[in-house]
Amino acid sequence: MACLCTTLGFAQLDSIQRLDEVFVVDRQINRFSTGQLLFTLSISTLQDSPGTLTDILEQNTPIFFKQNGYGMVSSPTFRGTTAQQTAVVWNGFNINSQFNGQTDFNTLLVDGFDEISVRPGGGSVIYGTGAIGGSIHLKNELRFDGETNAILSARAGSFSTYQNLLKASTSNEKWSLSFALSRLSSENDYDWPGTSRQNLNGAFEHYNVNLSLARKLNQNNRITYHSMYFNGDRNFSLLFPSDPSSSYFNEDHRHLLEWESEFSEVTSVLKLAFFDEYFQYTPDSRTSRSTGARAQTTLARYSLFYSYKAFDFNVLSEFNYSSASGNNVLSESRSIASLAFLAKHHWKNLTSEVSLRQDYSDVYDSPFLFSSGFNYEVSDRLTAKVNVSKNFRIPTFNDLYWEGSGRTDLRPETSNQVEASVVLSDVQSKHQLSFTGYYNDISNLIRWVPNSSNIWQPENVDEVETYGLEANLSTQLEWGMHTFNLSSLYAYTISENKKTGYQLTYVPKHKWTTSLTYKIDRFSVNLQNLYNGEVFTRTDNSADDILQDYLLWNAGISYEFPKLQNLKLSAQVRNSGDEAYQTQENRPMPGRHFFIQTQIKF
Amino acid sequence: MNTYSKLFLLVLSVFLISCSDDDDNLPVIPDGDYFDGTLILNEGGSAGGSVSFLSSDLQQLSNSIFEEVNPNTGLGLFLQSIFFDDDKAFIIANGSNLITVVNRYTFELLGNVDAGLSVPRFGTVHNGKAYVTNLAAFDSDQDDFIAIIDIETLEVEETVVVGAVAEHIVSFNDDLFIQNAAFGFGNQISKFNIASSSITETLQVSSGLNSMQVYNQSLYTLDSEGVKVINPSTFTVENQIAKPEGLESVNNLRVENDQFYYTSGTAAYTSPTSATELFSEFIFDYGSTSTFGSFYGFEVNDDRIYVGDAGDFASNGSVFVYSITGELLTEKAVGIAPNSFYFQ
Repeated sequence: MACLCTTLGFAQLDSIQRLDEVFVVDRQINRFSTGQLLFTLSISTLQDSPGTLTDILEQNTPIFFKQNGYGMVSSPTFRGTTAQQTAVVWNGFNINSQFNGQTDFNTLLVDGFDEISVRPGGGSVIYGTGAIGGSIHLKNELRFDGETNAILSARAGSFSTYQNLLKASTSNEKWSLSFALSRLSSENDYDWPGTSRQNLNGAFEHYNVNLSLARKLNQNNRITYHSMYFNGDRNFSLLFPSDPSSSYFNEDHRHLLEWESEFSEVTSVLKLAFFDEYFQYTPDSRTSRSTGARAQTTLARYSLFYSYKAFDFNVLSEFNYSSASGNNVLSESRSIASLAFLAKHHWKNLTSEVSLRQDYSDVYDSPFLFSSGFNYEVSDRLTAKVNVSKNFRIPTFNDLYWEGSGRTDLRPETSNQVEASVVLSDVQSKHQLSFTGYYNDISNLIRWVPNSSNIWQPENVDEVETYGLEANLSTQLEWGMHTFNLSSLYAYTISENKKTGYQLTYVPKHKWTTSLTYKIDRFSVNLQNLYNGEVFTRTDNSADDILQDYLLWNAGISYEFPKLQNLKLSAQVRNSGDEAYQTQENRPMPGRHFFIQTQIKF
Repeated sequence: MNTYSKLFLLVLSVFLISCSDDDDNLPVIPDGDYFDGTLILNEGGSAGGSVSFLSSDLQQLSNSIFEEVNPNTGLGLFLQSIFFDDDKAFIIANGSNLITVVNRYTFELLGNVDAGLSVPRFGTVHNGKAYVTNLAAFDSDQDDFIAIIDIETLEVEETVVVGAVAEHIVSFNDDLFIQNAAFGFGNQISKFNIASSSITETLQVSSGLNSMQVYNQSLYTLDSEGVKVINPSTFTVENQIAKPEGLESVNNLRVENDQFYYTSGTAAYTSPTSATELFSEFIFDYGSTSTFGSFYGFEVNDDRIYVGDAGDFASNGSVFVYSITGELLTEKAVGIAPNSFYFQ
């Protein structure tokens, strides 16, 4: 079952499956994505890919990541948007940082999760702030199938990199429990290809724990608890050997308690959540003076799902209270109340959806948000989709309350977008090909600019329009014992500052990735490539200051021993061409490097 | 967090004042690609800074000259200033705790000072020793220090805590003068005796002290009230030239050919040193759209006025050269955030 490949699957969007054996608490993502595509990364992809969420997504999605050297701060650009405009959603809740509004994708270890869904395009009606370029959904699953499973994985690689995973689950008819512990550490002291320099002060050590528990109270009622804990200790690599050695520690934990009551046409879900994020930054290890801050969020969300004939309705109300305190952020709090209404209708081959949301905050004014989508099955091999939505990104705690700079008169960033797709597939969905075109008009972008007293302050200054084309192919071929899996994606992205007409910095116009896996019996071979086009590093698109395009190749082999606890041995070479490349100016990434992995299943 | 600390470092960048104590000892026949023109220091962004060279006929501009001569190297993060000793140039990177020593005219790498510094800012050379101000921790003005560096071994031999902010530093006879004011805050100058390696006296001027230059046996400073002329021997204010009411704030004082040159907003001004009040009619207003990056660099030399404009700090900056009467002679694109000029 587990192959080394990273298969990019198209999710079934329209069937509202209520498989009692497996359930997830993010109910909206599969039900209310009309007019949009949804891609899933399977558990085997998560477990077979070394590294962090950055490594998995850069191979399997159109997102480009700008990294300050491998493993360092990693900022996404999804469909040409800014780092704050990609929402990371954990079991249905947005977990972007309260401080800077973005997720550092190198501070998430995801091999302990059960599935990741990636949905390009707007999603603020359901997932709130930052779902403009797209959203990444981390999911835990629970089962009541009475089985007990465990997996133990150990990976070792170049630059003293070690990655371990222990994941176990058990259940009976009433109880279900799932647990995962993962760890990743690296000296990360790779040679900078093409120079005599080495990556200095780049070591990191991360831990992630997931715990999920559910209990069926009776036939209609179920209580579920999900939690995650992340602890990351990371040095920031040096640009020059004499730079001060800085380090960054962060510790986040998140808890979610849910009570679901399900009746024939009505499902009622009450959720309570608590998130705590903490970081500490030490700019110079010689003095060990550090600055840090903590933000806490308490959430209550009530959802009512109602199915009536060909209609699906969902009413969603939420109250969110966040507070923060720390060295540079004023001790402040923010309350947000939200109300959303989602409706979907099936009529013959047409599925249509309308969703609305209004937020009320005690600090800033929120725009009215909406999303409307249509799926039309032209034939059983061709589906057309279209979606229009308005989305937002709210000012963060740094924007609002940074000591001496924050401003509470900021407005949220807003995005009006439209996208259309065609999906071609065969009847068994073994071969799928999709094309999506999108246009996204973003205004009120918040940027920190110096004011006349030379103090940097956030302002709603920029206007950006992005548009582009995405193509995705996935296909599976079988000849007797031989299986081929191929997935490939291409993204063409234009992201222009409307005032200057220049492409935003660090947004490649072209990205192309491919994964090909050949499997025979218990043996598999895998080949991947990743191409990123050149990026501008200056806002005036200066031709002398670009990062060159690059093409990376990875290759791997694996073999399974069914008699030895399903032992699977794998080996992988990454950047096999030893390409010297950078995703951030003067921050070289590793050359050719290797991993070996053993996996045992119980 | 990291982004904001970078921003913070950018915020903490100010102009360089000319430290022209190197005029008396020029080499007899300068040689090298970069001997006839102007060095332009580009502070740089998060990927490091660079030096550009503009030929004296203003025709040829070369960017990143250090990397051109010394491939696969760099000068460090947040280039603050350059000081000189004969044909050696000392390039200070405040974000990398690094001073890169190059041949002033060829830009060949000669060595580094890469230990004993903590956010170095400005330097000057006296008798074979370099004296470099260090800001140390950003949140404290009590740990700022002078690093005394042997310019042959390039090792920090001694550090002296200043007891106040340490920013610009100039030498006069056997004393150094340290501006205890940075980023528009501060009102004090310290006198440092070289023989005893200690601060001997301090002098209060007015708030907003932002410039300091030795000219014609006097120390000229600029603060929120205007120009003060200080006798460096008695360390007392001997004359004051008031800031005119019409100008909100004045910055970047340079004294050249018995004229003051200074800036306010996006305009440059001049007054004779004999004036009793600074003139408020500008020579030129270059209309920069950059709020913080206008006049990021400013220098007057040989009847030309050099302006560095940092724009949005995320694209390459611009250099404008004006005649002394305000005629634009040339405009060139240089590196990120050009903050100072040095004349060969």
